[in-house]
Formats: sequence, structure tokens, C-alpha cells
Amino acid sequence: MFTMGEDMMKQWAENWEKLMGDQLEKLVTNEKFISEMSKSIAATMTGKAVYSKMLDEQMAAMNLPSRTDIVKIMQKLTDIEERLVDLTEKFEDYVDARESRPAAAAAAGAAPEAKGKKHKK
Amino acid sequence: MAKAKELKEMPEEYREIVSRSVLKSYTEADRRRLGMEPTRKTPVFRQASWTLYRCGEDFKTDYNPVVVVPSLINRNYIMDLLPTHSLIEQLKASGLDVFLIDWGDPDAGMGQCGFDHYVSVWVRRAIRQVKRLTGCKKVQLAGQCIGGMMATMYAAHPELRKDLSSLFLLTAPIDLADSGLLATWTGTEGFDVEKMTAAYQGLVPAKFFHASFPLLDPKKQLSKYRGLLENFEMPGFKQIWEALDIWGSDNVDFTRQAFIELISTFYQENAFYKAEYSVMGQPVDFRDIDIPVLSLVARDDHVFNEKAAKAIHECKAAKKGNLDYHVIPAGHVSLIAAHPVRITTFALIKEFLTR
Repeated sequence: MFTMGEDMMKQWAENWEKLMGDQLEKLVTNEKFISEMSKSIAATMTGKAVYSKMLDEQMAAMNLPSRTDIVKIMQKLTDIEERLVDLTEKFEDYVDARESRPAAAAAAGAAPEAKGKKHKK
Repeated sequence: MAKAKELKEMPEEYREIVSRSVLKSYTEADRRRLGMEPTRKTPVFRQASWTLYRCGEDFKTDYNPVVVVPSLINRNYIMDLLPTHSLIEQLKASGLDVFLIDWGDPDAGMGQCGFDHYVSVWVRRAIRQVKRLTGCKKVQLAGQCIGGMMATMYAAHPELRKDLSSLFLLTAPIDLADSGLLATWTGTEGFDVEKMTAAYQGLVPAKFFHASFPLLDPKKQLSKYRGLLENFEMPGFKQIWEALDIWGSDNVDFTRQAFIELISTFYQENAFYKAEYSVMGQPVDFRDIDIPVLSLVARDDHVFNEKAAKAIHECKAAKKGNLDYHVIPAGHVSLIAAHPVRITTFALIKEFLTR
């Protein structure tokens, strides 16, 4: 009676993988195939973009915010957050500079302009 | 004739692992069960979607802090995958103060942020925070994959590079012309990234570009589950296999601007290699890098071939003998995460960062 053993199964799997792998490798390196695939994806996505634009117009006609509007608001929020962090950094740099100035003067010894002055926070 | 071995029944655990992998039904419990991300991390700065973490608990060190910039394509925990399979763990064991950026999940509002923004604003800001926290004037910048490309831009910029004492690149591409299958695909006639992403506002979904990743190495994909079965009884194999599978299926969306730049500016025009890409309004040329550099390249990398990283030899540091360049006989991530050769990788990194 025929028994499919482990070795036979392994051999079969290896052969199948090699055959499929070789074919797939040929396909993914075939410039004509890639070019056609790229054009097909680009055409589909362009169609999707046109559909999204139509949806935006319909939402605008109903006085409702579209996804484009929401993305624009999110971009503004990102810009505002960026600006806030920028200002925080500038303030931190200013405080650091003020705090290090008297210490640097003291380290330098008798710096005339630092004499008798006390650093205020 | 030798008698054929009887076909053994597949272990129940194997069926469960394959089922989770095929259905991508991984949960937080799976990550905990495997002990993924073993190093403790404390968030020290947060902005937009990204967070800067300080790794470990002991921060005393004799060396400049290390800031790790991960890739944008996958999550950063490939660098802290499992105990003994973790670059971060090794860096901490070497007595380094390690900071790790987590890019998180970008939102649609960040869609206009390209590589220039990532490097000149976010990486710069992360380094500024590290300098303030540690009191050090310079840091050692490390970058993996696309993160390595960003680290190279930072080190090449005339102003930004003043923050750095050394640069460590892990499978980081520079010259993307003829750099492998991705370069072939993007260089094909009709590959128009603007049209392909025209329908996406702000973000390019991970599933859009990750669908093509298995095709970079089809034979490996086909033998994936057979490989698991054949090595199932090997100690630790199934854990590392599953951890890598979890990481591989945990993909991140790209900001549209960064995606377009990656494909159009870096792949199709090869602008970074040609020193035509600008950061903060100034073209950056990696040939100007003049600090010690360690570049580790994977010999069997299916994402970028060795040629993409070899260009680092053209920098000033290389001409002065300050470049350590090693080709490791492993894959794109296995050189730090899985392959036994990672021990060699870790030793090279430790030796460089603790000089």
C-alpha cells in the first residue's frame, strides 16, 4: 500500500515551493508586468480620487464638513502644536541662558559687571 | 530501499501559531506571553504622534548618550524584540544611556511632513531634549534602515552635525540606484507615485505598500510555515519566529509627503546620493560627514542590496580612516534580532559606541 511518508511530503513541498518561487520571481522582475500593474493601480487610484472629490462637493452642498475639511483642520492643529513647542524651546533657551550667565561670571572670577549683582529668577 | 518515515501529526501548538499568523490575530497578550520589548522605557518627550523614550533604569555612563532613530516603515521594537535578541538590551548592558524614538501612528494632519521635517524638526528636537536631560553637548546618533538615512542627513547637515560625536548606521541605504527589487519596481515606466497616492489625504495606509513587501522575497514567503514546522522543536525558535511575525505584521501608515519623497525623490531621482536633497533649505551631502562612522550592512538583505550602503565609503570620515564598515552574513533584521550572528553584530556596536 502506498504510504505518503515525511520525506516524500517534504520533497513535494520543496518542489512546489521552488516551482512557485521561480515563477513568482520571474513575474516580479518582469518590467512589462510591473509597468502594467503600476499603470493599473494609478488609474484605479485616480478614479478613487475623482470619486472622493465628488463626495466632497456633495458634502459641501449639504453644508457638512468633508474629509478634506477635517484633514485641513488637522494640519492646522499640527502647525499650531509645532509653533507651541518652538516657543517653549525658545523660552527654555532664554531661561537657560539667564541662569548660566551669573554662574559663568562667578566662575570667571571678578567680572566687573557681575560684581554686586544677584541673579533673579 | 529505505523505508519512508511515517508522516508525523502536526503539533497542536504549530496549528495555533500558523492560524494566528495567517489571520494576523495577534493581541497584546501574545506580546506579553513572548516577553517582547524586555527593556523598560520611560517617555521623556512627546509631540504629535512621536515619543522619545529613555531606556533602562540606570542612566550613569562614561559615554555620550545614544539616540536611536528607527525606520518609518515598521515599529521600533525590532530593536528590543525579545530578551537576548535585543539591541537596546545590549547597549544598556554596555553601560550606555540609550534614547529611542517611537514614531507612533502619524495622523492625517501630519501629511505634509516629509523627510526634511522629520530630520530638521523632530530628530533635532529629540536630540535637544537628550542634551538637556543629560547635560552632554554631543550625542551618538544611531539609525536603522530609513532611520539610518535620516541619521545620515542629520550628520551631513552643516549646522545639525555639530550635535553629534559619532554616527552608527544599521542597514541604512544611501545610493538607491540599482539597490534591489524596490528600485526596479519604482524605476519602471508608468510608476507614478503622485497618481498612485492621489486618493489619499494626509496618510498613505500601511496596507497599500505592505501588500507588495512579501513579493520582495517570494521563495522565503512560500517556505515560511514549512521552515517553522521543520525547526519547531529547536529551543527558542518558535518564540523568535512568532515575535518576528508579530513585528512584520504590525505596520505603520506613512505621511503622504514622506512616501512621495521616498519613492520619487530618493528612489527615482536618487537625490540623496546626488546631494540634491535639502534639509532646512540647505542641500545635504553625506560626503561631508567627518565624524567616526560605523556602518553595518546585511549581506542577504532583501530590501536594499549592499551597494546602497557601500556609498558611505565616499564620506570624509572614510578617507581619514574613521569608517568601520562590516557586511554581516544575515538578513535585513536578523542581523540584530534573530540570527546567531547577532552576537558578532552586538560586539561590533559595543566596541564602536564605547570607544
